[in-house]
Amino acid sequence: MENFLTGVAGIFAMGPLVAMVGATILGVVIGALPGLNPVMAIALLLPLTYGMEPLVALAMVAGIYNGSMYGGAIPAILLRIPGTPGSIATTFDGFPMAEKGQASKALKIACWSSAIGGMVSAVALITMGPLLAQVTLAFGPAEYFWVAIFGMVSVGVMVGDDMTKGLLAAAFGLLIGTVGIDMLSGQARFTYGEPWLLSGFNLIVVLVGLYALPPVLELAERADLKGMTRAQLRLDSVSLGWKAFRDHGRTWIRSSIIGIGVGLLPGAGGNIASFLSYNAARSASKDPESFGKGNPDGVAAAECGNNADNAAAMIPALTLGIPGNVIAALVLGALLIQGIQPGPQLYHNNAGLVFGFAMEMFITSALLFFVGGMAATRIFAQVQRLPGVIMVPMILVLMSVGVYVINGRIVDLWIMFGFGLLGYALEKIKVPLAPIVLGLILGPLAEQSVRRSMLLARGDWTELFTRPISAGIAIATILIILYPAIKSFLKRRRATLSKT
Amino acid sequence: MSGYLVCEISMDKAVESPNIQDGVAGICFAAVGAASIYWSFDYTGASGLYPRVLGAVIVLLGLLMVLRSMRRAVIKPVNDRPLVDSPRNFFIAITFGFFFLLLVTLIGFYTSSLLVLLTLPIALGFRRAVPLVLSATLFIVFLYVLFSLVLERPLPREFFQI
Repeated sequence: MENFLTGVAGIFAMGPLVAMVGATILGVVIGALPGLNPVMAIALLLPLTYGMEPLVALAMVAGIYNGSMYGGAIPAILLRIPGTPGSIATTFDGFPMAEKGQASKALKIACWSSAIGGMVSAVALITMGPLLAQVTLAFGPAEYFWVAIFGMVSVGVMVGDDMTKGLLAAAFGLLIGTVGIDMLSGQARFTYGEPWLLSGFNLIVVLVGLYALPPVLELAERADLKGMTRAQLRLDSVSLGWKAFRDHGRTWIRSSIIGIGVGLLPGAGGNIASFLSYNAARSASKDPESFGKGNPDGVAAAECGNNADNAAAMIPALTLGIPGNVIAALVLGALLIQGIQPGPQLYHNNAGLVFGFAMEMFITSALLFFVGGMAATRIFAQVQRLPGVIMVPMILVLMSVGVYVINGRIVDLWIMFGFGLLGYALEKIKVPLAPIVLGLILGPLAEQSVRRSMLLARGDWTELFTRPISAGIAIATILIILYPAIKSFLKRRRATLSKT
Repeated sequence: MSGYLVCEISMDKAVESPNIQDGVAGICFAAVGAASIYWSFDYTGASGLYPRVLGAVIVLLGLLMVLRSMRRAVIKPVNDRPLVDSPRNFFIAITFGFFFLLLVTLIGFYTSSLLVLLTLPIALGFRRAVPLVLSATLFIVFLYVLFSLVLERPLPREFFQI
């Protein structure tokens, strides 16, 4: 309780408050802009957080995250183009509502649903995080090793539709993480006599390259010369009032629970939460046929579900060091920038900061009620009039300056460019990028843990499997790897049974 | 927003062919894994063992990717996505990006930024001078205020300052 109050007191200072409001507004704009997404925006933001107070830096991350997850609904409803992957399900009913002249109502429902989902999710982070952190107190090096492996394997298996590619990406990320001086032996690895490689690849430089350059290149390829017209962006005022709680209350509760559950699973993101919430709302509806034809409850379910995933995804990230999604991985990056090591000790060493961040997630979600109001939405929607080709060099310049200021090294710009091209190619062949990032973050933890564990056990490998918790996590890891095969087997068996 | 267009895939367009992209990618990954095994023999003790194990895993998974790509299977049209959608625009963006990074060192950050802000949209087909100049100028002012005045970060010096 004392830590919680310390955290809350910390965010009610000028810096974090201004950062929350500014970043939420910026987040909505980013979500609404063609070609931008929250991952890219936070990746670009991270280099700027060097030298900032931790709660100010995290306030900006929270604001951009929650703001952009709602902002993605604006083009999803107006254009049937989801601003973020989490907004795909929003298009199903949002766009038909816009076609029926109910765009304003759809946007308002999306805004309220996003705010409610985000707030409930933040409450889950505040209450469930410390409980999980208590469990992690019993962890030794063997458990840390398996936690890191479990995180990478589950993200590798769950993200994308090909397990081989996911695991390959995770192993590749781990390998990239070995470049530089080995912290335990002092051995320089894969440096080839180049002094700039001794400190390894900077996480933020790699993140900006992998996540910001590919969308810029795709934006350039599309060469949008016009943007949207003024007529396409005309919105009328609409008021929802308390009736909205009666109409969508159940959907909001159901979708919040689904979103939180999905957020806790490593690898499952806001898009899965929104799809599951949407399907659940349709199944529970008295009129399921109206879904996909402009049912406001469909918009409420999808938007509430994808925002309820936001803070919940931080629970495994902050307590175990396993990010539930890429943005959680970026939050871990933001903590590392501040010199704070995410993982089991975080709640014990920096509890005030963690609770402060959780409250920032709550407040930035609540802010959506104000910044996502109709007048503001009308203004934010105007950014879609900006032609895509103008944004291409802007993002390129922003990426470069952001990366340069980290270490003041030109070579980092080339590393960013190289990783950007790699990310572009990997995305095209459907190799997921999230496991690479996770491998880079968790790699040093995994390596140091396994080697420490071996030192403590005097080289006895069975130490990794014989401790009860580590054995449990190891079994869970194996089950995750076998999950696709089990799923396929059960599917085949069901098909055979139904034929006979 | 890009890349998430909701589309329906017509199965009647499905073709039967090996996935060349996956095959080449698998070979590349396996080569990276093999190279890391080779180089890590120079490192002593556990600091060499760990990258060797990782290299072996990458080689195995890379080869698995190659084997799976060689199986003749029904490939949906979505898997036939070309590596580059618009080669011309992709090449323009990459070239401008390359020269921008090169010029940052030679003529300074703000000058090279202004150049790329003004020329890249034109190369991509944009022909409206007023919004182009206005947006480029405002963006440079924004960068200057944020990085040079507020954050006071040293950036590569301009050619006229040397």
